[in-house]
Amino acid sequence: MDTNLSDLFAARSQMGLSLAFHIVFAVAGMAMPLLMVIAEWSWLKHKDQEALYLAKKWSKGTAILFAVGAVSGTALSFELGLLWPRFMELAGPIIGVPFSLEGAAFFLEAIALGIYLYGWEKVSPWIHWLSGVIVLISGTLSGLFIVAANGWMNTPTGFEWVNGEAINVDPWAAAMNPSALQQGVHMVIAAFTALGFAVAGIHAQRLLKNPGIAFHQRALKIALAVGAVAALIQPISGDLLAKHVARTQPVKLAAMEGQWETEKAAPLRIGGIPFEDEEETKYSIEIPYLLSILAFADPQAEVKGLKAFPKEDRPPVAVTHFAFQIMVGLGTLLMLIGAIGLWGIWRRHSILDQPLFLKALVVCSPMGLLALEAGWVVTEVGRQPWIIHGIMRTKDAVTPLPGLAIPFIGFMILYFILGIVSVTLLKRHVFDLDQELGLDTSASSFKQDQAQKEA
Amino acid sequence: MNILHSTETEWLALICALVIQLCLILYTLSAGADFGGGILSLFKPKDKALQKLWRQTIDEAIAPIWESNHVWLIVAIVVLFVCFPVGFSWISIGLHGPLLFLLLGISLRGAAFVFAHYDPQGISKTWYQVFMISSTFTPISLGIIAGAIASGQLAEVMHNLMIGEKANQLNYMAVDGSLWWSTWWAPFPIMVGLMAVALFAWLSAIYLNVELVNKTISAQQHNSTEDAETLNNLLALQKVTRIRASFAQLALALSAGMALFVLDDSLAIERLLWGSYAPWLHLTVGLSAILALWTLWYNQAHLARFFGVMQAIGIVSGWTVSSLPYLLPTHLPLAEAAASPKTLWATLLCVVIALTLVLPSLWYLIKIFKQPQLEKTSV
Repeated sequence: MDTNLSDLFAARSQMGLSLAFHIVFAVAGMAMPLLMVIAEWSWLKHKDQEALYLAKKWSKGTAILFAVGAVSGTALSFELGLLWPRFMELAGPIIGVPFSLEGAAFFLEAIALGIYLYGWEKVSPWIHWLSGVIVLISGTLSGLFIVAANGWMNTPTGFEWVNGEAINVDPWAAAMNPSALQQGVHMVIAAFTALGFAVAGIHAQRLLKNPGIAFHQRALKIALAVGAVAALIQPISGDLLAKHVARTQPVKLAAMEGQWETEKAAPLRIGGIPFEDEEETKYSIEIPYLLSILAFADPQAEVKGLKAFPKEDRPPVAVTHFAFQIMVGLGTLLMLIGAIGLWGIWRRHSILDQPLFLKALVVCSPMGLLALEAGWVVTEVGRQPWIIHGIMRTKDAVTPLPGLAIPFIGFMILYFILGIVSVTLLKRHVFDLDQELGLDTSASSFKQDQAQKEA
Repeated sequence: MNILHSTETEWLALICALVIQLCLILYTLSAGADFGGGILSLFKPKDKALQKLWRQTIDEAIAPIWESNHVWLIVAIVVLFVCFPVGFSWISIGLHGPLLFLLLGISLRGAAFVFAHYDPQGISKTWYQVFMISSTFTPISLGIIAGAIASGQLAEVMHNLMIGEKANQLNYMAVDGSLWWSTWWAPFPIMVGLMAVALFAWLSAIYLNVELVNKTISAQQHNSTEDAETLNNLLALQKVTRIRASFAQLALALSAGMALFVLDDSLAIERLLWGSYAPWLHLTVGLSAILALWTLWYNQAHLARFFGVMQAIGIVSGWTVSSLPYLLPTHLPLAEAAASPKTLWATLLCVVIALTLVLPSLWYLIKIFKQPQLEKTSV
């Protein structure tokens, strides 16, 4: 099968772009409900008007994010076929269960969100809160199901592969493939980390402009608590997942770590640049034994290196390695900031009002999302050259249709516009909020800053 | 096909196809009307006060439910690719172009509606225009896809690409750029595209008519001077809606007639007109169409909606049923395109689980937002 390389490149770029775009909005649809439900709970329990106001403001922001997530998710379900018809022909009947259940969960999420967003005056307060809980549960389930389908691409099960054909298909076994839960849990925790820090950063920025505003302090605490707790438990899931990858996809682990030689007592590399021609990772800090320990819980364990695999079966090493380093680095940073934040919340310490800490939160605002995107790069690029690990190569899955650069460019423009407008609207939403609160909206002071810079 | 004498795969495949058909009918009745709202927004009344009320009524009707309505299409697609992987593959490869426009339309419509709805400042006007235009070209793409399948053009082109006996063995070497349009570029699918626009606008208009009637009733219950103007506006808007509905119905009849007239394939015409159950469906569609118009102008808004819905069900069913026993007439039979019985059983189980959860919730959602409001209508 000789596919036009530029079409393959366009198809991969379009898929990557669509996934990277969708995931940001999907994460918001998954994790924002938790923040809203916490705030609304506080109102229901303590009749605290401020908490109600916060829940309403958050729900308005969520409406925009959820809508963009819903339409980009629909686009993805079609793109799977538009770009990878042969993959879907094989995979569709095998991984149908998680896809179907995802459809059901997403349906419930959309219905419950409709009640939540537009039903403030139409249903009783507790029913309203309950609909938020249903959004949260179904959103999380929907994420778990879709990641289970992705897990199957990493560890395909539930069929026998005979002469290039899948026989004795068992959709339930495929749904419960060994990566499904491992990856799913990692993703759900990542979503709460990323969104918690993203929201905390926005409120921290407002607090820097207008210190001491109770509304933003309240919002910051809820968002930070969610993000921090998630960030602190993530390493456990990450460790389990790494051990799982070491067993099931050793070549991916080797690429993640830039491990070329098969060796016992393998060191963990921090940083470094893998050179694929020289088959060597240079300039890294090596911590002896640690990779063997992390991957197999045994300092003497043998870790397979990239050289143990034929070149045509290796993923792009540099991209996988860098993405992995970025994910772990940012995750660690968020864990540290989160620990300080949790301590501050617990002890009611004034560190939460310190400009330095608030600035750190502003800087960390996009970091969770970046870490999440990097993590997906590790999963997806690290699985290459396979679309289904060991079964079907990505180049054999692509559509035969030529001229795929055109839809790629089209989607790029579309997502660019949708992204810009969503961000603009959310920014305005926050400014309007501050105007309602009677605060200095930073639009003017921002313009002044700009003017000063230009002068 | 005869159910009693069919194999397990055959009858399971038929049930799965019916599930897809059900999803497409529900998509047409719900999301179709949401698109129709966007189309109707293009044909706004001249009077300023009416314009505002027109847009507001459409907005209120769409806002809480469009995201849920839209999921029926996702369910249809998922059931299609799980149960009929080869069919999904033929559609995806052969109708890449119209599908891209469909996705573009779906993305722009949804995003633009929310952007326009939530924008506190200036840009909402532009986005409302995007909403209206994308609401119009999305149904055209949908109709083109439906038309290319119904006329058999898609299956014909894809069948010519087959190198083996099996439908999944395609000669990829023979594919060139012409596949972007050779599967659908013909008068018939484009006419079906226009049909879809007319159908969606029609559904939306008869739903809006009911909402306006309900609003009128509640305005009549508050008999104050302030409400007198509201009442007049509502009555005027009812008339506007009926005129729009009648034009949509006329356009629907014309485009349907034209579609058959331009179809240059006697076998396809025969299949569409006289295929299994097709005559009964045509009769249903014709009768409901006439009854719907009649009741609409005799102030029976609810009956008009009922007949309009019957008509839409008849049209979508006519499309799918006339294809039997094929998934993609006339080269891909349902049973040949179907996955293994184990997969079909698993999918049906998932569908049952899904419907058990979704239908009551959906009913509750509609009850909350669509029941007549007795409080004062603000204009």
